[in-house]
Amino acid sequence: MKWINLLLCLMLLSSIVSAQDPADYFDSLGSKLLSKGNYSQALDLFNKSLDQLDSAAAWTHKGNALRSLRQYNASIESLNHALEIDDSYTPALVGLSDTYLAQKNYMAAYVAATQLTSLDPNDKTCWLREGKILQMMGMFDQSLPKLDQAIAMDPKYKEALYRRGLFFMGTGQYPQAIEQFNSILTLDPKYKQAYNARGLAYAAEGDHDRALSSYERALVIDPKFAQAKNNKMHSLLALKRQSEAIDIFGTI
Amino acid sequence: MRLFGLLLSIFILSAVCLAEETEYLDWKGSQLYAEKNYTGALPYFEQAISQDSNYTSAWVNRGNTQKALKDYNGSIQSYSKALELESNNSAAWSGLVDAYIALKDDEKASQAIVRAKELNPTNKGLWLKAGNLLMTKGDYQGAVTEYDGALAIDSQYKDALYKKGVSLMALAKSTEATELFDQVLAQDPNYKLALNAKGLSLEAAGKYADALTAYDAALKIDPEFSQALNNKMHALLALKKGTEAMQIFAKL
Repeated sequence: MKWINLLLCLMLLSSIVSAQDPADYFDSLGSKLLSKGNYSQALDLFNKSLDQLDSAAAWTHKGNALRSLRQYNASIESLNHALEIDDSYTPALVGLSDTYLAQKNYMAAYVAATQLTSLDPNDKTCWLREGKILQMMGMFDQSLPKLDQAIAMDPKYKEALYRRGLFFMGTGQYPQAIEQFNSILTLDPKYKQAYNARGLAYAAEGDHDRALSSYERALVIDPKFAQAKNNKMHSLLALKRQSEAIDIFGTI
Repeated sequence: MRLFGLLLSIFILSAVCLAEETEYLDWKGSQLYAEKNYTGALPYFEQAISQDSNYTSAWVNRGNTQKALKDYNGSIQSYSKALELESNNSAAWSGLVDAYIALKDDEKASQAIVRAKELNPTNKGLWLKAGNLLMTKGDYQGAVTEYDGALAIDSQYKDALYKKGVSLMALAKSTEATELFDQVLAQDPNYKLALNAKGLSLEAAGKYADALTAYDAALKIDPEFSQALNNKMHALLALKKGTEAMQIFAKL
């Protein structure tokens, strides 16, 4: 009887291993293609992986591929499958939040983000994600504690500091915003987004000369930075330098 | 003597057949080109040329197909060959203009456009392209003259009206520019570029609330129109609606 049990266990184990191997193989192959932007082929491989084994990882990867293909409802369905298998599988929640964002369903994206934070409150990126989504909903006041939480974990967390700058702008505190962007630029003088946002803060104060020079700094770092180009055009318009503004308009 | 006559007839007949076949190949290629099957069309033109290297139409069509396949240097060679055979071939000159524009060789494009316009002065599209070329060089007054040439041929030519409006903005004639954009919109209320440009011309005149309306109308047509979104953000900033402006910025 012992022998029979042992054999049975071995059989079961080998069938699991035999399903696991090809499933993992197809999943990892699909992930490689996904990272290269070959979404349709990646999707085929994730499906093959799922034919072998019902895994949260493969459902998540499939959901991410579907999002890239702009099939948002199918993406949400896949990611929810992953969460049915493992309701604390954080990559699925990240994917879900991203798909809702792509769908412009900010509230649902925020709910997924809060679930993520509750699963991993020591992850600074979770707090930043919450803060960012709140800002997208125009809830700048509510975004601040989330961003501060992220900054408390890492005082040099540039993205969170940058978002705090946007909080100041969203609440009309332009001098504080400028100060915030300057402090980020001390940390990283090549942070083009900070120059661009600082330009906007100057523009909001009506100081288009300074705004212009901030946009130009951003464009030195990245001459193809379309947002900075567009912002520069507006400051040139405000400075009545219309010909220069339209020179830019023609290139955007 | 009889035999000689027979041979001569056969020779003439085969030459006629060959000419007809060349014409057929050129026609067949053109059919595929019209269906946008460029890779399918190209071998027909190649075959036509290999049968009769003096067949100008096949060279022009080959150039057009290569241009459609983004082989601009190849298309220039084909058009040049067509012009060696027939120096006044306006289609070849027009094709050259497009190929040089695509290669951003403004100098050669300008030279080609002069010749193309001489040969086909009633082609409004050539006047438009001439204006566009001058705009890229920053010669807005010259561009207006060219657009006027296009509008003399077709006073309702939307693209020329729009581009003339943009040039007038550069020349600090915002009111006239706005009128032109309105003319375009009277013809085609969904011309989102005209709505966006109208917003800019109103903004240049300090009419931010009206500019906002124009941007909103453009965004109603295309909610993903990033330039209009960015422009709307600036109008909101100018109207001291910082929170709304930053809500847009947070999503860009």
